[in-house]
Amino acid sequence: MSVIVKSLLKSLTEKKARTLLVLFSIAVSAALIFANESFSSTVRQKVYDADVRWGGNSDLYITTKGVVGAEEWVDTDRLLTGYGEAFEYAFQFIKEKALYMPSLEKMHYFTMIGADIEEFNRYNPITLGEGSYQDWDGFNIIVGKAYANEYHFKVNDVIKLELNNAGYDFKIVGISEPKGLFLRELADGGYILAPKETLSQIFGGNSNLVFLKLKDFSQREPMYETLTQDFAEYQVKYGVNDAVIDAETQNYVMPFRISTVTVLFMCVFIIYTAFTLVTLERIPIVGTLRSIGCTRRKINFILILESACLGIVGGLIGCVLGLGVLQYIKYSYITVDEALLNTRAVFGVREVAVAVGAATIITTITAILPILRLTKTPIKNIILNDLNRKQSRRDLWWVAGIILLAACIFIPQFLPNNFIGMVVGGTLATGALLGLIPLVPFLTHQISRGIGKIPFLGQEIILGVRNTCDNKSLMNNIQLFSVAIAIVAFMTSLFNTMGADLFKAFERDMKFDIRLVLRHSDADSLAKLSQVEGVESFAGSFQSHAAILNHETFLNMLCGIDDEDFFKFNPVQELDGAKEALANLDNGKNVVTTNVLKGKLGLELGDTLLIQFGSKQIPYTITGFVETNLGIGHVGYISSNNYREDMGVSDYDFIFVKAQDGAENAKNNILRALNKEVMEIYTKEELTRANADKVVAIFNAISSYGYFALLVGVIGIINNLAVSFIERQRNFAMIRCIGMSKKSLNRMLITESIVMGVLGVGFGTLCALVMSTVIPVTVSLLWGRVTVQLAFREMVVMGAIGILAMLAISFVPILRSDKLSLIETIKYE
Amino acid sequence: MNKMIEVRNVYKSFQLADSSVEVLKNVNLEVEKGEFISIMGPSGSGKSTLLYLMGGLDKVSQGSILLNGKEMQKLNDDEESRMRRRDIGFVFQAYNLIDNLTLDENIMLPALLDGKKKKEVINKAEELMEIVGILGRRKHTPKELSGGEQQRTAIARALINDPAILFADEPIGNLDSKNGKEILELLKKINIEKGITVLMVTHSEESTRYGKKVIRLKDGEVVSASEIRI
Repeated sequence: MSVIVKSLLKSLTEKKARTLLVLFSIAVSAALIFANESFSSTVRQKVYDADVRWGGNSDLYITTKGVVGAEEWVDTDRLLTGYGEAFEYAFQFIKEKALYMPSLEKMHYFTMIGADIEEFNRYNPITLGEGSYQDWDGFNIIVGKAYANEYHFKVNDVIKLELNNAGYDFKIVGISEPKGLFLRELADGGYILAPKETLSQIFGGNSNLVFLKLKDFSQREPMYETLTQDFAEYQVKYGVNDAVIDAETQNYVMPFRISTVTVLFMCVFIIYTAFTLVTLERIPIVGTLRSIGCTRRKINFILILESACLGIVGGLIGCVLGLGVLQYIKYSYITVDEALLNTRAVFGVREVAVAVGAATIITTITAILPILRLTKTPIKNIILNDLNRKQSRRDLWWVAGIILLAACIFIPQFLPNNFIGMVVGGTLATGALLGLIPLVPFLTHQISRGIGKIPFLGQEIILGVRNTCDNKSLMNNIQLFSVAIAIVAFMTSLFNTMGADLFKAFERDMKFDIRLVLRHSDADSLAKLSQVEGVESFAGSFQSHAAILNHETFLNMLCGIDDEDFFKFNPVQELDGAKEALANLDNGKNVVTTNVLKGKLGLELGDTLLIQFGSKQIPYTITGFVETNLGIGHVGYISSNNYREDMGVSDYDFIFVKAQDGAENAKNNILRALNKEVMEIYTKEELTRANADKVVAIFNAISSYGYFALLVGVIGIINNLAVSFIERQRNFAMIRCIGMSKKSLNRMLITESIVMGVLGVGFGTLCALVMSTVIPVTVSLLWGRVTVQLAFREMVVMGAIGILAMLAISFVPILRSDKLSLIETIKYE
Repeated sequence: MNKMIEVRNVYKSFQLADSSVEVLKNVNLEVEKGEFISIMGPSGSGKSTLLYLMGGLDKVSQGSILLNGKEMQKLNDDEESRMRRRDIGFVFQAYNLIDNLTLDENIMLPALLDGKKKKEVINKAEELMEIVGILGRRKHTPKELSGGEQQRTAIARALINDPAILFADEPIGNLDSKNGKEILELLKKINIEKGITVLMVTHSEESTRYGKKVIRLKDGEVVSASEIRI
């Protein structure tokens, strides 16, 4: 057996181009799988880091409620007296707001944390990029890098901050890297660390924020329950639900997983065709082995083992390539938030094992069919070189192709907008792609017959057209090219649809001109706002992110609304159907949610959502559904009274304003009138711009997967062209012998390439259009209802480039035919 | 008589690794119009090489070959190709038909490559198919034919443009004796009835009796040229 293995290895090294093609296809598959797995782990780590940036390594924390009439300071003596023994630590901090106002237009409220620096470092380590916290007293502060860059802060700068209605000069002694508390500063609004004693003196209290770490982590739940009861005047909270982290991670990685499946399809196709050619070359050795007594089983074992080894080697190469892919995804996907940019890619043995394992399995399974076909061939046929499958004139696989494509055209409109619909839709699209493969030869035959009847065409053109039908490698190229074009065109349409929807969402879902956050949205502030020149109308809303505990998912936006007027500023579709429900939100714990969640979770009217409000879990009854893609459809509307009561807050999270004479005008007037009351103010245009960058970045990353498919396809096509030339060089020599000139032969080869290019682009584009019928149903579950935006412009550009590329690739056989020796080819081959 | 082919002081060598192998040495001969010449010799004597040089499929290393007065070395690719379409026909041992064309398409191919329309040549093709005896198989592809039928098709293809010369490289090498005999009869018939000059490379002494002259080669040199007396 070692002799046989040695012979096979030798043949692999001799056919370098073929072996490299197979390895490259396997490596690309493995690279994408590796990058996906690592990206998933990286995102999960990122989501986890983001969600615990506030909690640090603590198990619980207690904070004041922040509503009118609530306790201002935590009774730490009572806490420590009663429960001190259970805590590893109980760090007492102060959390207040500090206003930085270098100008009227540049007003910013930071969250200021007063803490003992050693304690703080123990609960949530600081990583200083500059400066030091050695002298942690007086008015020394630490700021985060994001806002340091924004406001050009440097170490030793003195800045004026307003706290408790008085101004103070603080000196920056350190600038923190975007880690820990400062991880998502831009999203959180900015933090400043100050000595606790200083804030204690300014605000006249000891602590309104206590982080607790238990000696016994297993006591976390009971302690949470106990403290919630015993300290009902405060908020008791703990860390994030793992299921929610998983759900958030899925949202990030799902588009990449979908893209990977489509590219893997291409790779599998290439691996299959490459192995078909590899086994063809093995025919003589297999014939000899069988004729001297080697069993089929042994030969199958050796060949399958060989493919598995190729899978392992390709898989390992793919992991190295995957690092590059991962870096590209990270830098394309993650936008201006430096905290996220600094996220280290997470990968290890698990990711490598998954990638290599998957590559080996894919390769082995893909190679089995050609191997079995080879070893099943009777020995006599191998020896007599009678190997061509008798092409039955009644080869009816094309009928299956038509059925699969027809199914993809007609069935999607009947599919439900839920998980089953998404799966069936995806299956139909894959079926259409599979159906394209047998349909291509059938359609090519029909078209070439038609072309053959055109009277003025030269004979070499007609021969070129005929060759694309009759030569297996050339036909394989058309199939390969069609599939690659179909995948790229489909994915581009998919992303155009999702991207267009995201861009449109802001136009469709934001009917306000300004979004505002006030320090206190009490009657006084709201009265002032109504008097501001340029403010036509406004509505307040409570809004937060909340977990749905009984479905292990989350609401991107839990909105507490006063009445239906809210929807004049943030419209939804199908409002009429939920009018009554919205009017009765206050008649109990009622919630109106979205059709997206309805489909995803199988919700019905009357079902319960167990919503997490800080430390409390409160069941809400679903009384209606609306249609919106806002927050990818993870939205719930409850009454503002319920929100205030259950969340323990009193001030609106956002106030939406409609402007009379332009948003900028109204924005400036609001700032002038409300001054320090304004914590945050953005016009719709500013919000749209910020979102657009993010959308573009996401789709840049995902769309690159489509181009991997095209790259793999092109390499496969080049290999096929080289192989087809080798197979046909005797024919070329012979046809030259009977009088075809070099120029005519080149024209014939160019014709073949043009036919392959045009038909490949044509069939691929048509297939992509068919596959696009499933976009609404596959996307709606993740994205909400969408209108399909076909990538016509991109298809035209891709088509033109594709045909030119095929033309360029035709120089491979043309250059080889120029060097063809007629005698050697005919006589001595 | 007219001289169809003149071979003057022809040398031919091939490069093999570091050394040069001389296959033909100072070959001189003339072929008259209407002759049927067999070229014989042991393996490696250079007989096929000589045939291909005369047929313009290869270039001499030294010397010259004139075909119908034209010096072969001086022809460019277009002129050579035109010559192969119109002036000569080739028949090979392995038939060398195109698998994805039918018999009639294979036969018409040189004429179509020459720019003629199908309707102009179809009658001629049918006539040739009749002569060689394959008219009933015209719509079959080469894979569906026997060796003898394929070789007849190759002969018909070689004749479609009414060439002056037919080159045959071991035309019966892959055939059984019965088919082989029939092919040789056909070549003889073509030579006599149509006056086409035939040059045939063969291993078989028996085959030479269908022709009129035998040229024997040994180690790249012409050792004899004699008439066949039957």
